[in-house]
Amino acid sequence: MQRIFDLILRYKEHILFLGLLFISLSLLLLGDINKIGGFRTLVIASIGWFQKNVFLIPNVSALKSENSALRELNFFLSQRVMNARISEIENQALKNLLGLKQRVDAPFEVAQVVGSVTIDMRNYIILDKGLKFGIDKYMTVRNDAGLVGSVVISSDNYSLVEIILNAKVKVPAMNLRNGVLGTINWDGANRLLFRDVPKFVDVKIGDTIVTSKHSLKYIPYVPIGTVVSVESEEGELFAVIGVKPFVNFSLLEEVFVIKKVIDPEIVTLINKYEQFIMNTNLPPDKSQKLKPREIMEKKKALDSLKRIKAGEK
Amino acid sequence: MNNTLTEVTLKNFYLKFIYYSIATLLICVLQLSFSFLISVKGIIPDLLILLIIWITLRDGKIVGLISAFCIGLLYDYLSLNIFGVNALTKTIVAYVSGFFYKENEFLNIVKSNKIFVIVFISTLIHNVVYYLLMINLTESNLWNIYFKFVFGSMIYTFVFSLTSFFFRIKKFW
Repeated sequence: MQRIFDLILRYKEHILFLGLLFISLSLLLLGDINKIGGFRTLVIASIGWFQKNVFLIPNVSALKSENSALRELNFFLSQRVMNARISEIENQALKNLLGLKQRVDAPFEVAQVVGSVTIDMRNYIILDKGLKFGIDKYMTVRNDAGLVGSVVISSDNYSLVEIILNAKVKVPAMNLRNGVLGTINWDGANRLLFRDVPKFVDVKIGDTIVTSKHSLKYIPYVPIGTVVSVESEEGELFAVIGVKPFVNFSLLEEVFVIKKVIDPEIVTLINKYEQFIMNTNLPPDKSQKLKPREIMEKKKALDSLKRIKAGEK
Repeated sequence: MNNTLTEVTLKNFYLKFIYYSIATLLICVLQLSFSFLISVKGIIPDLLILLIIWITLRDGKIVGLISAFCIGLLYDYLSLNIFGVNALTKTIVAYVSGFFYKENEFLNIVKSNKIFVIVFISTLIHNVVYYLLMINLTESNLWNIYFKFVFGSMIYTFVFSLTSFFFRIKKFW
């Protein structure tokens, strides 16, 4: 007894240190160890090491209960898989019945953002891949969170992407919950606006906005953001709907370029029509001078004729 | 005679306890409320380590260990940190610096270059353990941040230990 007492006295500092360490670790374990990631990892790794190297005899009852839990989980998951398969088949059948087109998952190219540039008050990002990797104009660019923009021009090794944070860019969009259509447009500050949606249409805070299938520039169903505010101003026909984008544009590093472009025939058709519209809206030729006096006289003659006809009646 | 000696020792103990408590509270307030004034890129010095080293070298291992544990607990409580993190790391600091303790040699140690070695080793071990526990594993550049804080905080605390040069100037004493 005396020897033990002497030993304790001799190593009192070390024993006290170990005791205090033990209390500190106990306090740590009593707290929320999820907050201290490093400690949690150490604890799990230590327990794993001990279980692997020290406890050579397996704990039969623990293994039994683990097996039982795993079987239960397996059963639950297999049920879920079966339900998912049934749903897939039903979905397929309904789609066939309605004649809906399948959503094709287009191939994509991963590219790094190497810079950003502002041209004519429009914001662009530069990607490190271009035509050599099959990246071309009109391709949709997104990241894991959602829509980033679309490629406007490509060189062999680089591409310029017009991001949706541009006041002049309008993205045809859709409310995923009920299919309400509108246009996404940047308000110039820190949010996007879901425009052209009448006041009476059902749009709620928290709704997810995705690209519409009517868009020619962007592939459909790419997530854009969530509705964060719905305001209706007095005397206005349309609601002011604020959308918070899923993409954090200030932290863009890696993006996916979806290698799917619209049919070139459609582009040609649109260009042709645009040309036609521009031609019809052209101001009259200077050689064809307007003669207002002549026009007035013609109108007067026409009016007096009408008056005479009315008098005869 | 014996009674008088006990009274003096007890009085000394109370006085030390009060001094150390005041110093702890002042440093805690400085570190928690005014850290933005001394922070460099998010790195702040841990002045409590210096206080613990001071106590350990002055009053021995046992007092140092107990004080470090209490100071750590108090700091955990005041900083709303997980209870026990600072208690653990500060206790380690006291244990490490306790190896350099020599009775009645406090001023000699502080005046010598030994103090820098003690501060360097204690702070390094403290920071290695502390940031190993506290680092957020979801950080993308985990090791960069880890080493930045470990060495950054160590160097910054070490800079404060240079104040021990004042003890070498006789005019101050």
